[in-house]
Amino acid sequence: MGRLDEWYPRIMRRGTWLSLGCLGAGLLMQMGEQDAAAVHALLYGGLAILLVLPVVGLLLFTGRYALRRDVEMVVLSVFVVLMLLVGTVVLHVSK
Amino acid sequence: MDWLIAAYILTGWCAGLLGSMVGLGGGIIVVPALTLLLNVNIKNAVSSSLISLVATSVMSVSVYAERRLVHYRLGLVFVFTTILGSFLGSYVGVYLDPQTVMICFAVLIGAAIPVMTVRLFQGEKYIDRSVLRTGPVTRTGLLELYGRYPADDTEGGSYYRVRHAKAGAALSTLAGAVSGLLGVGGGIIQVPMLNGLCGVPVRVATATSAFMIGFTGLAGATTYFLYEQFDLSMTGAVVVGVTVGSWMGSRLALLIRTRAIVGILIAVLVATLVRMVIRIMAI
Repeated sequence: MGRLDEWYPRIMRRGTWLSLGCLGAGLLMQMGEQDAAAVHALLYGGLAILLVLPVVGLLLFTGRYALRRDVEMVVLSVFVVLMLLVGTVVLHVSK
Repeated sequence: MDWLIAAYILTGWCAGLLGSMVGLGGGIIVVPALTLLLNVNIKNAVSSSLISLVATSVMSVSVYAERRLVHYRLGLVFVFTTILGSFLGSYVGVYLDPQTVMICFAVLIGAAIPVMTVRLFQGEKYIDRSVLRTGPVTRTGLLELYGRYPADDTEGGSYYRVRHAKAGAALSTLAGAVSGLLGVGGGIIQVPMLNGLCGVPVRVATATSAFMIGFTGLAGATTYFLYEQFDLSMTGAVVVGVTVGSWMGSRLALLIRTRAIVGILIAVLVATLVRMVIRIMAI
């Protein structure tokens, strides 16, 4: 995996701290009864960053496996992303 | 409102701290704590816990990845069925009434107590029955999985073969369903399954399970999010608390005797079970 083993943990950790920063700021603003729209944006933004992180990690790996021509892993990774997407769409439609 | 947000953060922090010190994650503590102590609807507690799982998974995997302990190929094969289970579990959870969800949670805690008690008396090594062999191996199919154990310094490396991959993938569906329904990581099922059934060394099993839990949490959280069964402020507060608690707990675990913490956790789980049973009977 080479460099990806160094990059991946760094991106994941920084992403998590960024997300926690947004959430923390949003909560502090809420406690200080600041602008509700900004509070919502920060809280939703923080959660969105967090929820996107595993998928970003997976896409990074997919790119790396594609460069190494590991077809099996590329297919597996793409299927996992597709499964998450399809599951979300099916749930949204069946609501 | 202010004190309530502080209480959510503190509850998440305690759950993350205690859970990460024993390798369970915070879900098994945070859901009953929010429900029983702060009177939060159990479905909102489950959805907050699922989103917290993503944060703790990402943080843990970043550490395990540096030590090359995550078996990504195995994780991706199993995560497929785990996600399916998580979507199903959370979908069922959305429609179940809160009391039934609480009964399911009480059953899970009832099952976790003997597992933790065995761990208390037998230590960490009791489940490490991995088949280690030397020399590189050639794969013949998708479920023919091998791994190299990085902790072993044997010349040429030590290799293990993943046994019963089909059964493992099937059981991962169950782990995903439990996770999606109850907001726990599923590691309580996956780590013993990967190690005991599939022969994966326990450290690799823990790391690979953490990798899968991120996707389980994501699938489950998406369901509750789409069905609007979550509280934005509470979820934000719980995520901050659990993540910081887990981060501190994983470092404290190196300094404090694990057996003492497992003992404390068992006592907490027994007390939680008793309170849950009383609450269920009272409804």
